Amino acid sequence: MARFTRTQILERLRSQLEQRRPIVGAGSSSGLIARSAAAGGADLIIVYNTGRTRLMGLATNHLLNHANPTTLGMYREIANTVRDTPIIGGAEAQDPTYWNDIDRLIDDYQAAGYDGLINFPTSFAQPDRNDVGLGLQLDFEMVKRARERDFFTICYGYTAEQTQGLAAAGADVVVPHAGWTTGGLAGAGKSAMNLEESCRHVQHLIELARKENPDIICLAHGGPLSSPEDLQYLYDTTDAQGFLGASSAERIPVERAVLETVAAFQSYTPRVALQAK
Amino acid sequence: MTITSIPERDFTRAQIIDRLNATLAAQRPIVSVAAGVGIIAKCAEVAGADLIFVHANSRSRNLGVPTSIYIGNPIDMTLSMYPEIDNVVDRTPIIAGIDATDGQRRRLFRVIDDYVARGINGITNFPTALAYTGNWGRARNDVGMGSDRELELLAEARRREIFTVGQAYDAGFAADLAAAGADLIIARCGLTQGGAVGPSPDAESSLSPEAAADHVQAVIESARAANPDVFVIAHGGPFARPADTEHLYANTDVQGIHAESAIERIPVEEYVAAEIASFKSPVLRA
Repeated sequence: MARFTRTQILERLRSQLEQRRPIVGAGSSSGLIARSAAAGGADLIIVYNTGRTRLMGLATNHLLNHANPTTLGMYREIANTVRDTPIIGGAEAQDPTYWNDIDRLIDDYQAAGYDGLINFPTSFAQPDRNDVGLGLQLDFEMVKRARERDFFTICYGYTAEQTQGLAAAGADVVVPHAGWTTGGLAGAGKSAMNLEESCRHVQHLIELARKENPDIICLAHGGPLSSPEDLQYLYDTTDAQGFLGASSAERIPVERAVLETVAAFQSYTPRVALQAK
Repeated sequence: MTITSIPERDFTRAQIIDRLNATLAAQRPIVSVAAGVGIIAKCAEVAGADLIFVHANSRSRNLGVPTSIYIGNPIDMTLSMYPEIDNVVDRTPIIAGIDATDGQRRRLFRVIDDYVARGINGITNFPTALAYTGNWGRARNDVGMGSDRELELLAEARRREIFTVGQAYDAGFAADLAAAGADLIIARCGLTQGGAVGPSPDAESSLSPEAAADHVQAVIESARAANPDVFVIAHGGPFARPADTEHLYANTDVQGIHAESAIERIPVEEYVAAEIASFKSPVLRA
């Protein structure tokens, strides 16, 4: 069962904000990444089904596996290396195998050991899913039920409708999503927003969320937000209180680690190679 | 026949040997990298690693626990990790480990057939029964499932012109591996020291850089007595970071480094932690 209550998690996050320290959530899909992110001071460890695709060396993709069983199955590896940081699971409310059964979905995440939920993956712009009862309303229902059960929730908001709805449903944290992360070997390209556009978009969604709940904690994610410099700009120009990194936590630094370390190993020459012709 | 824009990854034994010789001729070390997940293998290729290894102990490093082998059947774990490595490596030979002492797979030739059919470019006796202290790996020869099977594995692969790598914890076995036909020997110096879950340099089992270099040189001399052309690279122990190889290269005839924890564990630990710490460093506006 969960190691942290909703109240305990909120106290931890609020104490960071009181010190004007940004909240950092780190997408972590292996025990190695999770241990390292926690050692670096992550406030929240977030487990997504998409993380497996990042570790496979692919561009992030949420469609290569069945999200809920994948995320539920990942908990044990993460919990094995993280003891003192809340672990949040990406739960897909729109999963047809939990049709009309959001309580069972929450039960499964609690039984697995997760300390809270984030609505991921989520679709927000597919009217045909709404028409068959498997659309965005289920995200709202999941957050509402989790809140009634005093289970911590984080919500990604891609659009105004989604962000407002999730805040109104009782989300503890909302994360305006600025799109697919740029940078590294497998990041978004021309389709991405630039930094200024992203920050304006984030601020717009924060203002909508705060209208529904003035106390909601507002983070940001994605797009060009992937370096400390980008984040300082974000904090200087918006009311964002932190950042969820996924590719920027478990893809881009791993790529750099390998590229730079292999190159460093190549820079020393064996004496036998000096004699080679 | 190529039916898509992504070609097969073909390497003959001769091409792999040429590749290693070309690296040395360019006055560079052979750098081989163990990868248990695609992102490590992909980046190792981009960085120009000479060989990429898939073997069972990578799983434990990605779990974030001290390097371990028997948290599953080694061949099953290797073959379950391999497809995602294969998927992202196009220009670098992939060498995969076979536990020749797996009693569930008595017909080694079938295991080799299976590996070759999957597109694996070379094989190695990993894990080796001689990784364990005491007499276990040799005593198991009494029941036909000891270290002699590893020599059979390499000899059979060599007979088929498959590139072979021998894993040697001691100089005597290095000579046996070289005689059996190994193209490259990895001189193993124990668990890679340091990082979050490795032994400390002053742990009882940890070799000093001097002792480890002596061990590597003894492996080289023993292996070269059996086959003067065999390549020898070193793994682990105190040779955990790039700068640690300076002493190794200055004091031995070793030709490069095999990096396991040195690439897929310690740098990942440090880069990820540093990145997260940097995300905590900005100050929120009042």
